[in-house]
This record gives sequence, C-alpha cells and structure tokens, in this order.
Amino acid sequence: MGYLYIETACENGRTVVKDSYFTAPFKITKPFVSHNVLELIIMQASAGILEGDSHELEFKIRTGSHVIITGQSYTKLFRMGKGQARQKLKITVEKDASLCYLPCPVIPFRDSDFTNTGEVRLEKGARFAMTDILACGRKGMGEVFEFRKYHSRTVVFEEEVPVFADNTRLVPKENEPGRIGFFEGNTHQGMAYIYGRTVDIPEERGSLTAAYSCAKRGTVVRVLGDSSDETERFLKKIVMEGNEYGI
Amino acid sequence: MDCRLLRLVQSLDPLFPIGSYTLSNGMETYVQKNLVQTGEDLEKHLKSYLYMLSYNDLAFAAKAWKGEEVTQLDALCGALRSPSEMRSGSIRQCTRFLKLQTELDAYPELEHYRNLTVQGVCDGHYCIAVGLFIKETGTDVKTALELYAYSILSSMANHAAKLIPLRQLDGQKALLEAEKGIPDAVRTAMNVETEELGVSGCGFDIRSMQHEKLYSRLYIS
Repeated sequence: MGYLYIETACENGRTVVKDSYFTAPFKITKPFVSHNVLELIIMQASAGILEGDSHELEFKIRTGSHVIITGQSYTKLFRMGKGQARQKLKITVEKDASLCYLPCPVIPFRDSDFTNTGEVRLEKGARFAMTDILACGRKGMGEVFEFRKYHSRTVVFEEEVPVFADNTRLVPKENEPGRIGFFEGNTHQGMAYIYGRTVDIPEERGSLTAAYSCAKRGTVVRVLGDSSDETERFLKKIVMEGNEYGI
Repeated sequence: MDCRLLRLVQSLDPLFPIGSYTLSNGMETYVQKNLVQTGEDLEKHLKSYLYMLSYNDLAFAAKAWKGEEVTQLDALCGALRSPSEMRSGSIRQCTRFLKLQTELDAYPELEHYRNLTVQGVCDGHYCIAVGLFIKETGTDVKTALELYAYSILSSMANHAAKLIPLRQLDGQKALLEAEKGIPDAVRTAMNVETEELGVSGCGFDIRSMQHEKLYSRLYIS
C-alpha cells in the first residue's frame, strides 16, 4: 500500500519541493535542479509490483514551478495468483507551471493482472507531457502477451473538462493483442501526450510505426515497435525537445 | 417487421445521407499500406474492429440509451477519440443525423442533444445520437445495437471492396464471417463499465492518424 506525494512550488524564482511524503516501497532521489527545472527520480525499494499491491501517487505542480519526474528502469508486474494489483495516479498542474512525467516502460509478466487509473488536472496556461510504454512481457524469454489483464486509463482534464483520454485494456484471453488494429504483430506500444506547447515529430522513425494527431487539446503520438529502448528514445526525444527550459 | 424497426433500418442504412460513404475510418490507410489486401485480411480486420466497437461506438450508444448524462458521455467520447479525423468524422455524421431526424419527426431527446451541440455545450458524437434515437424509437435495444454494428461493418466492408479492390463475393464473405460475432459484441457493449468505455487499439488509432498524411485520399477519414 505505497503512497507517494510530491508538491512543488516556485519560491524566489526557483522551483522547490514544497512538500513530499512517501511510504514503502517508494523513495525519491534528492532533487536535481538545472535552469530552474527540478528533476526527481522515483525509486521503488521493491523489484516491481506484486499481487495485492495498491499504490497511490500524487503530484501537485504549483504555479511557476517546472518539474521532470522519471522512474528508474522498468516497472515489472510480477506473476500473480488469483489476485491483482492496482495503481492510482493523480496529477495537478497549475497555470504557468510545467510537468514532464516519464514513467518507466511497463513489463507485465505471465499471469499478472494490473489496473492503473490516472487523472490529470490542468489549468489553462499549464504545460504537461507524459509517456506511457507497454511491452508484451519478458520478450527475451519468449513471454509474449501471457499476462491476465492490463488496464491503464488516463483522463486529462482542462479546467474540469476532459480533453484527452487514453484507455488501454488488454485481456489476451478475450482479444489476442497482436492482431490487426491492436499491436499488429509488434511487441511494444507507446504513447506520448503533450499539452500546452507545439512539438516536432521527427521524420526518422527507424523500425517504429509512429503517427501523431491533434487531440481535442494537445498532441498525441502513438508508436508500435519491437523494443522498449527504441520506443522510449523516440518518445522521450519528442517530449524533451523543444522544451524552452532546455530540458 | 414493425414500423419502428423499419425506421431504425432506414436510419442506420449506410445510404442514409449522413456521409458514411466518405468515411473509411482508417481502412484507406490499411489498404494503401498493403495491410489489408485479401478477403481473409478483411475478415480479420472486421473481427478486430468489431471487438473495438463493443467498447466504443456500441458501448457509448448503450450508455446513451440507458439514460446516462449526455454531456458527460459526449465530453468523454471527444476526449477518447484522439485521432482528429476519427473525432471530426463522428461529429460530422452526428450533426447531419440530428438535423435530418429532427426534421423527419419529433424526437425530444435528439432535439435536446442537438440544442446542446448548437450551444457549444456538446460536440455531438454520432454513437451517442444513435443511442438516443434507439431509445426514442422504443425498439428492442439489443436488436437495435446489432443493426448498428452491422451497419458499421457493412460500410467498412464496402469501402474495402472498392479500395483493394475485391470481388463482391469476397467482401460479402468477410462480412458474413464477421457479423457472426455481432450478438457477442452487443452483449459486451451492454455491460461495459464506465472505466472501460473507449478502449482503444493502438493500431486502429495509428492508421487513422496516418490517414491525415496519405499522399492521395478518396475518403476523408
């Protein structure tokens, strides 16, 4: 039952962690500040997410603060018995504040069952970007879509009105994820959402299949590929480049 | 067949003039990128598309039929359709559908939804309008949603048959196989939880986004 709370604000022209609170297995690194952008890495003492886990993460980015939150390596969803694991994510970004949230790619092991619910509340004039990357399993071991269920739903609100929603729900037993319309023979999918600024999408896609479009508000990029690294690199570049804080 | 059901058949007919013939919903990309080339490919595509519909269009129609708050459904629907052509196609069809239906007969719920779109409170999404229309006609909801699913698949199969091109027989064979899954898809749609509404397929979304930049296009989505 891990809980993590981070609140940032602008004090004397500098972004600071105003308040933070966390319980096991969460830890945060000592913040790293460069050009008034605060970077935090969320660490988990456990090797991954276990059956019965129910985590809650909350980030409050107050006016004038600029923050990048990343994870450590990969989020592993371990084998589970009959139970499941859950995670809730709540993000608020106030006006003239910005947040880049770049969690680790998720690897769902065989028989895992995981539900993630995200709510992002943005004030007009806020800047926000996030990525979400999912692998088929431990591909190197030949574990391809053997999890029980993976459901990740994120809704982005602008002044309480939903302007973007992403809903990935994969249950391999009822719908083979590799089929046309879903992974289309690939083993990885990725998404980036960028709000409050324009983005450059590189023409060079390598072996990835990628495309972008304008959501009701903001830009969404979707990727299908065969490697976590390549997918992550491509999306990170889009999210980090063109950011006027030099990050 | 009673007249209420016939009214539904008329309104969901791909020939009902709301522009269904201009929307390929990503099929044009699939064909141009050689991902759908044969009758078998089309059958696979239609089956997968039907699964997606059971959490999307069919589920939104079912929720609207059940009387869920239409402004909230509308906002969620617009947020979930992140590829812009998917969103604008749905809005375009809805605008025409509401205009035509409210001129053809008195439908208070459609009138209300139309007013909300005119006031800018709602975008107006076709699947929600269909759900409200089913309610107004008083037809059996399962039959009605099955017809709705059939109408979407049938349009899709016809677009594919023209684009690839396919023998009419092969197009109809693919449709026949895919439509066997319709009762199940409708059963799923009727029981979709709010959290499951609008579950996307990454591939479907990407193909819709890529359509915006295809070199030559016959369809507007």
